[in-house]
Amino acid sequence: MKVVWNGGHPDEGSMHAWLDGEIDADDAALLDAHVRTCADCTTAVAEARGLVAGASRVVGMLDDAPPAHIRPTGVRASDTSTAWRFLRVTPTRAAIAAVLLVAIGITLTRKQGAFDPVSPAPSEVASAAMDEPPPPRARDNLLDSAIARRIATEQPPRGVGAAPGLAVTVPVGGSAAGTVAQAPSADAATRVAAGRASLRAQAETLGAFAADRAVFSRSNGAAAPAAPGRDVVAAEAAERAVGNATNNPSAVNLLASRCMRLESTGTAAAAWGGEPLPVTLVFDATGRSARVFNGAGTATEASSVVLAATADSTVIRLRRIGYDGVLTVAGSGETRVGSMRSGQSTLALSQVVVTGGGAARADKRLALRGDSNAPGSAKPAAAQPAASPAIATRPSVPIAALFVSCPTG
Amino acid sequence: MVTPERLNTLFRTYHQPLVRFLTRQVGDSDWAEEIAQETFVRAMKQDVIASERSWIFAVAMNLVRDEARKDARRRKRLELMTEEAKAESVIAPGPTSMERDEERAMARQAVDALAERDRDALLMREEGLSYEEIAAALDLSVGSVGTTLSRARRRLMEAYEALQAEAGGQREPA
Repeated sequence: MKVVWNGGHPDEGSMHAWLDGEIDADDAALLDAHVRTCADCTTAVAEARGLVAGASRVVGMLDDAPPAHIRPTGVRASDTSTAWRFLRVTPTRAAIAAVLLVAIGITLTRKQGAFDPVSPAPSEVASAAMDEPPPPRARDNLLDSAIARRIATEQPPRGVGAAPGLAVTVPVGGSAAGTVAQAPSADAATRVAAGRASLRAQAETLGAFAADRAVFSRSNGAAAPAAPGRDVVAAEAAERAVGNATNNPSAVNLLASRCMRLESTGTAAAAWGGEPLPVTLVFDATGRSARVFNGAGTATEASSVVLAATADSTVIRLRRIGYDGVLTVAGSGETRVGSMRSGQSTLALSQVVVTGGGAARADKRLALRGDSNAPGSAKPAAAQPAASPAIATRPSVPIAALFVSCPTG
Repeated sequence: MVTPERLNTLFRTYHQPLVRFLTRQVGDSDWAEEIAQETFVRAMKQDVIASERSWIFAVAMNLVRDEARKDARRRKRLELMTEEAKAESVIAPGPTSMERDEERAMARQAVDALAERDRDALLMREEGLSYEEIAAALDLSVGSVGTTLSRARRRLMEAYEALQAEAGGQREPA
């Protein structure tokens, strides 16, 4: 639209149109140039700008729902939230909601049926499913039913009932209709949000852990172990097994005369039995105990014993006066991951939990060492004292365990 | 008749702003919803709709007027609501929520005080209608929309500020 000039100045309507972006580009440039040189017009534009903003604010106030105590019977508040407006209970809408709930339930049930608890991918899938918008068909149904309702000219009284099977009694008119319809939905929304946050947290934890481990693996030239989620679950299972697992002699043998370096993959500094990571466990020829070497390759006062070992897990207790803790390592191959709890204690014991085993490692060990195993020396893990209850309260530090060449010291 | 696909698009595009516009107009979201539905029913019966948004808002406005004429009782209710809100806010001023209620009641009064055309133009503009669309919906020239809006905005703010001043005067301690 064009500027209307009145006595050499744009009229008020043109100023509003300019502020509304409705003036043609050429005229807008002219108006702009004029306003820059005309004090009166600058003032007028400023006033118009205030009117535009103020009017918009006042109109927006109409959207706030008035409280029930000033609302006459039968008159509903204006409603800011479109979503809530759609959630007003009418028989049609309640029926649509019921169908949607069933559909969502079936969808989630099917997804859960395929859920692999040790893989992070299903978490992402489930999270993505929760993020999906409602099926567009729902809106179409709403439109169809709304129109059908009008055409039939038999519109039921507003807010009178719910879908068959829904034990919801809604008073005619009044704010209670909105309350009854919205409360369960709000609760469900809260729970869905909480569930979604939980799933995301899990995915992020696993993802970060896998990323840390990948970096670690690359830096050590080792192959990245597969299935990080499975490693963590196995490590936790091994930790739970402390004190009641039964040693598997062949698993114990796999540790014999090996050396395992423990490194933190987290950001926080970590120590094992007072020795800052990395430390190296040097297992004896039986695979049942180990000495602890510090990062410089020097033997420390800490030592360890194998508490439990099975085909896919091994539990080792680290001994040092004044410390306790739990170290959980899982996975297979030369590089493994896990978590560690450690700290000072009045107890004289610390624990190391190592899980996983592999024939290739055993072969390698035999090829390197050429020594014999002593399976007969392995004792049942259950015979060893269980971890201190205080250990469980220690912060968990992600770690990686790497079979390395043994320190020469 | 408009095809079902086209009607779906219309509904998705315009239902929400139309209901908000109507709610602001009449102060009753249920009533606004009914009028919106009736508007889309009428849209369905149209062979061709040239300027969709203008047409929809114009039809909705006409329905509001028709309904208002048929059922003056609703308007009475709104007046009652406004009066009650005002009375309530005067009797028990204080908490923030009450102040907001008071502001809302004043906004309602100020909007209701506008001339019908000014109010229609302003509320349509607040829903994002262009000057051209407003002109088409209200049967105005495009050039007069700016004048209409400037008048509407000025009068709205004058009315609102007058109500605020009045309320402020009533709150002054004796």
